[in-house]
Amino acid sequence: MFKKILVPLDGSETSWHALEQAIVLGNKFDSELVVVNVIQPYNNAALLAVPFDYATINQGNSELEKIGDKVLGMAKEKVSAYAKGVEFILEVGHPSERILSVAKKTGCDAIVIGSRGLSGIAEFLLGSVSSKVSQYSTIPVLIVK
Amino acid sequence: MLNRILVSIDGSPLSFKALDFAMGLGKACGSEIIVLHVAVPFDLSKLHSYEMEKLEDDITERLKKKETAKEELTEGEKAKAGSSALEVAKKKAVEAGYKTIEFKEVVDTEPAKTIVKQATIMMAEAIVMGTSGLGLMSAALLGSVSAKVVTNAQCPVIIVK
Repeated sequence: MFKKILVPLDGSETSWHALEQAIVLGNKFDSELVVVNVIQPYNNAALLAVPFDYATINQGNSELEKIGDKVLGMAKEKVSAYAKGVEFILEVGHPSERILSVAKKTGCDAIVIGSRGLSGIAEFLLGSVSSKVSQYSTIPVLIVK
Repeated sequence: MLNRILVSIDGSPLSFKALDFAMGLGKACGSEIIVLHVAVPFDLSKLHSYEMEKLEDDITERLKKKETAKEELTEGEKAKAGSSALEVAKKKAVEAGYKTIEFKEVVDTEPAKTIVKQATIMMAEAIVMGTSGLGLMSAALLGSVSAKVVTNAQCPVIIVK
């Protein structure tokens, strides 16, 4: 129980709350933390039917990666005092899918996630990512408000 | 952070797993646990009831022993059918040797609302519950009750699988 806790971060307020809660829990259970940030590649060009070339898209994606690195950098500062091991992972793809696959890959036994993230058009109160994660995960999920 | 944990149980195996999980968590954090059972009257979604199954087993056993031939259910047995979820929970708490634990039963037609309300009244700092309980539709996905609790609760919610 709580040997390894996965904390998905997107840089939103609630995701920082989730990280704080995970640190509190982790201190009690001596658990390792896995902090993951998922960036969604820029693929709206097709949707808008704008003939973007690859250079533009790649530029957008590398910008996103920079933001992801920045979020992980902020996380690193916040967990600098943490005694046990912390792993930082930057993933590219569909958020809830990537979160669940990272949880499986790293062998986490709990997920601590914020109830809603950055996305504006999410489901009413519980965010779409957190609801998907809590539905499909095979390990206990702590949803932080 | 986790000084008071509310565990909601409905008698399903997963809800008892949630209780075990909460006791494990509570032991490490030294927290009080409130076990809440919301009894829903006339619940048609509860066609497959673990509680009734248990009661039936009891009766067939007694019939085998010929203790009761064709007797009606006594009041005590009727009450047992409803409260057996809490009885099992009490037994589990004793087995685990958990001291700071309370049990509460509330009768209401809306379990999700009641759980959220009770969590506020009892000043719980976290809610622990299973993904899906006894409802018929719930087996496929996140149960309707747990989904509602997650969206409406003021405190962190732990969903146990």
